[in-house]
Amino acid sequence: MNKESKHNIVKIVAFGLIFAMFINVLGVAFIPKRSDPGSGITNSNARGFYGEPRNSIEVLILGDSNAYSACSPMYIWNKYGIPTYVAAEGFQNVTGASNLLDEVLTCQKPKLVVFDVNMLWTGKTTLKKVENNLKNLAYKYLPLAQYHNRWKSMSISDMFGARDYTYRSASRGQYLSMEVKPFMGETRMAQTINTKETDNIPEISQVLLDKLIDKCRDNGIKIMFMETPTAKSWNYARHNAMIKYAKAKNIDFVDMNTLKGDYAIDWSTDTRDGGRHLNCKGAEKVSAYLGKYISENYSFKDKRHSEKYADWNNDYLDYVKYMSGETVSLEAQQSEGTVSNN
Amino acid sequence: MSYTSISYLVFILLGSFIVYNIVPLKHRWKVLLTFSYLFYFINSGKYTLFILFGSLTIYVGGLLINKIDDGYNMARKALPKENKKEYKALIGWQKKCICVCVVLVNVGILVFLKYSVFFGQVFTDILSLLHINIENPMYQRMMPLGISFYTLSAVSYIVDVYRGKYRASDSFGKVALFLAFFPHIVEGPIARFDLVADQMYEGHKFDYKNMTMGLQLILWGFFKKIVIADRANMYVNQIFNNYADYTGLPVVMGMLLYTLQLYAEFSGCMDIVRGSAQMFGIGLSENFNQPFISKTVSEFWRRWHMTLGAWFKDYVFYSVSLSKSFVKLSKKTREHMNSFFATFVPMSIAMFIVWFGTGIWHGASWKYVMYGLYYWAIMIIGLLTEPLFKRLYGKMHVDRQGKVYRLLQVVRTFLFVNVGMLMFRADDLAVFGHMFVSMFKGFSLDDIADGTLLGIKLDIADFAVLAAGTLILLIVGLYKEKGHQIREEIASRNIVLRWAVYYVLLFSVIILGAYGKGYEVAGFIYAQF
Repeated sequence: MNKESKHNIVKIVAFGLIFAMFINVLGVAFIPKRSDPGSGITNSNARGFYGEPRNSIEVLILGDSNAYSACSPMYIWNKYGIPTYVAAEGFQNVTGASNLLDEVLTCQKPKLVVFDVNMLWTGKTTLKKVENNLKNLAYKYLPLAQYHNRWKSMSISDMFGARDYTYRSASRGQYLSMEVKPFMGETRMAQTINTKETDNIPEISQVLLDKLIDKCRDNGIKIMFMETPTAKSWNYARHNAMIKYAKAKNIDFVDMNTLKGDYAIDWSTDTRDGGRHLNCKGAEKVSAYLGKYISENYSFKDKRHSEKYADWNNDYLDYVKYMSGETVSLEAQQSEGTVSNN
Repeated sequence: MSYTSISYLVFILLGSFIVYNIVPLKHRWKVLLTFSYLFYFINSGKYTLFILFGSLTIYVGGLLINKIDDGYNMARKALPKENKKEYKALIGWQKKCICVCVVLVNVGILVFLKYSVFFGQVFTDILSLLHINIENPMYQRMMPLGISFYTLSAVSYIVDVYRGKYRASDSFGKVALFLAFFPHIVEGPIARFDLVADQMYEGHKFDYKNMTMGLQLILWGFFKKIVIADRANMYVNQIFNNYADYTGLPVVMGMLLYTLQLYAEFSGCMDIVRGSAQMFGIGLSENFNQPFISKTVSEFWRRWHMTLGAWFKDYVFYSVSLSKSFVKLSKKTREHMNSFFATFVPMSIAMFIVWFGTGIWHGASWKYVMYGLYYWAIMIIGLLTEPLFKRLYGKMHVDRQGKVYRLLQVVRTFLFVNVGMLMFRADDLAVFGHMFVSMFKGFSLDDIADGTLLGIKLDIADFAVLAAGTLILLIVGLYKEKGHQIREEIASRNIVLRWAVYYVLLFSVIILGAYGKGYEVAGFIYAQF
């Protein structure tokens, strides 16, 4: 190697190091210092676990918009006393869910992760799936890329202040909606009820899911799979694929699309957007079954009478008011004063 | 896979660059070919067969023309003088047949995939005028990536071989790489075999300067695309998708921002692709040369999408102008008209064909046809009225070389171009008409002060970034126009200044880029053509 080549290598390394230094310093400066909705943090509702007392969450639900629409931690709390949190984000992918789990593990120690498998098929092509996962990977290591747009609203104190993540979501991550926009017609599940085919889990999703399972096991967390009800995307070919995969991994899988009786979804009343997502009424049916399943198959103590969880009981009262139509938004109450007190 | 995606940068560009510099020199073209086809396959799947077939047709067609030429050269000396002319005419006819067949096959595929629905609709509309009502039998098919671009390159290759500009290549890999080279396959620049094929085929040693200069150009392209174009896209989409809700200044701003968006995006993409190619030591043609300082629309089209204009000039305008029927027409006009019209009539007909072609190349709809003919009409009116204005300016003692006059010419061209852009972006001609009229309705500068303008998708900070970005583009453009080699000048500065420029640009892209939460993902507009 001649002198010029050595000189060039030194320049490349130096350029890279200075770049890494700047991007890290700026990353620290750009990360929101608070976790409430106005702070600029991504999906504050999914990140309300920061505001909960340390190691107080016992069941963590990871998923996409289906999960945050279909799961009601408040309902599960009232019925079974299991502190549950929905850390779900729209258009989530496995890398994003894994990142969120890492965030949860910084302040909570859940005993069970309930993983909504709908996200495994998200992304039209393999390339799109790879790109979406890469984007979330980049966001994890380069927070500047995720929070770059905060330059518009940041103050100096916001740049260099200490982190104060105390925002607590009164719904524990659930997206609350009482809207009803019925779905008419036959669901994809009903259309494919006789199929023996399997729509295998896309390879990239499966590789990442394997890693997520390992991460849970390494941290002593049990994992179970669920598919929340949706009229338009889930079908029996995917259901069959999940049964096969869950069996091979010896992990429980509950497909809420197959529920019958009181738990069955009525698509004329339980959806807020014509069959894609459930409303609160549908979420209570899902949560009734999920709570029952968890309490029967995993060992959780009822925490309803614990002092540590007094806020949960108070928030449940607000939840009841919301469900009865007495108040229009839980979020409005949160912003008015019930922001964390731990 | 967009040129601004992580997957392109990591898997295609970085991946091919590493492998390219590892394998022996003589095999390096194979790395480019492999990655080009990988890139193509990822984007188009089974439609990769179309570009493979196109490559095969021009390769075989070129070899056949070579064979005919070789046969003629061998037989020429042995032929009696009186038979030479006859034999030459015969082989000329044979070569023409091959060339026409290859052109028809390639253009035919493009027409079938891209225009069959449009022509089917025209056909059914004509029938309906005759009270025969049938449904359009054609349906929209998926388009192979970059077909509008690589078809033009394929045609240029076979026509150049036919014209004897160069011998056809006997390497299929070289021809295939020329068409499919991953940096230029999506949006051009439309390549010419004689300018790029050897550069692609011969292995280049790793060159630190090529790598850094290539990265520098890519970075500049990212700035244009992500900071400026994708930000303007938010406002533009809002106005054009909800055109009935807006009048006056917001519509004018929508038109101006679309012009900015298209320029920043298309020229930014060219910077990314030219920078990508430069990393491998390959120089692709420039496609833009400060188009907005043009004094006429003809000049604008010599500075905007230059490789498309040059292609139409070389393969349509000259082919039409030098055809037998056209030579006959020119002869007739010279016999029956004065000198002005004797030149004007044939030229306007040839230009009509060029601009009709340029318009419809952009898309299968009347809107694009009219977009091309709009420029044709401006040029024709300009030619027709030129003597009149010349006399008028003479009488008024207007200094046509003066700065003020030239500035007014630039402004006039800019306005013409913007109206063209409005037509280009509007959904159809009726929407264009509506938006054009609505610009003059309720026009008020109060829209700036009362927040109407600033409330449309972008806030004041976004507008400030757009204004600063436009200013930077303008300053860089004017500096280049004065003959400065700005890229080389930056690269030759001391390391502190040089790196400061690069870091500022890099972090401008990362921080000010219109991506992620709150912004819409915007694809490359010309990739749809």
